[in-house]
Amino acid sequence: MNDKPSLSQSLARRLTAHASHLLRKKRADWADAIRNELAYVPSGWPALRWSIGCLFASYIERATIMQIGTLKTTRLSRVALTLEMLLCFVQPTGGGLLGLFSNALFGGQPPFGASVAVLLLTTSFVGPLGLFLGFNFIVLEQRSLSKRMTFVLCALAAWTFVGNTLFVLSVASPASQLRAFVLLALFPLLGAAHLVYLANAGRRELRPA
Amino acid sequence: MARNRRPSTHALSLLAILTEGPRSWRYGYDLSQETGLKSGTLYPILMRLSDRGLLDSKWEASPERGRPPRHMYRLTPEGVRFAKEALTESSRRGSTTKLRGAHA
Repeated sequence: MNDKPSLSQSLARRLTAHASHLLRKKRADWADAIRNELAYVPSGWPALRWSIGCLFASYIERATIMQIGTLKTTRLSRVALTLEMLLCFVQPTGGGLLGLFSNALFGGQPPFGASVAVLLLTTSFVGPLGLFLGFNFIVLEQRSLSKRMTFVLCALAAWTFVGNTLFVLSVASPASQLRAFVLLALFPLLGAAHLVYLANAGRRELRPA
Repeated sequence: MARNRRPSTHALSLLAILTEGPRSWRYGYDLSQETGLKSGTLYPILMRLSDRGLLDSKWEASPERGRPPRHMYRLTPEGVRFAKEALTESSRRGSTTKLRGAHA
């Protein structure tokens, strides 16, 4: 009797073994469940289709775990996240404050009125305040955000976005409006959205089984 | 704190099968056959349900020699409650949508 598995069977086993390997670290029980179930699936195309699905499920699961695991466990991701946050917030904060202070110090006339200056001043402070709160809670202390804190962070991000958008529309020349909008309004918004997403991802992962 | 999101249509079809005879244990492949869900869709849903304490699982040794033990699933009492609520809500929403469609 020839017990040699067919090509499709062999491929299905390999794929399922790989899927199982991907899940092994965090979900050992499920890794075994997926691998063992293949023995009960009719061989040939059904088995191959089953194993491809298992592989897909494992990669999805692995990616979900990595989103949180990297933040929690590796220093590199924190460095990357810090750089990302600097990119998102330094320009709207530093640029705005620098402009206002240099005008105040050197007595130059700012190219905008007092109301726009107040707007710029508030968004210049609101941005880093939101960054400090979000970064401190989510990245350094790895705490999940309460609904109130999420609301505060979103409100600060929204204010920064709206304030800086108004500032760009009233001050920047049409040629530089898009660049200024991206740097001053869009980046802080995306940075805050990423922090809130990470906080919620952490909460999903920490949820008791 | 767990998110309280509406189950997807795939999850609903799985919950519907699992609530038929909620005390009996079922195999992954059989669930896939009954629901028409592919393994790549079925297992993530099973994992989420299990994470939320809505699904019980256990191992069953195979009566045939040389075959590996098999994972079996059934809803927990909380899972049965959740499934019934979700299915009722879904059918209510479905009839509302139909009504809206009829009036459009």
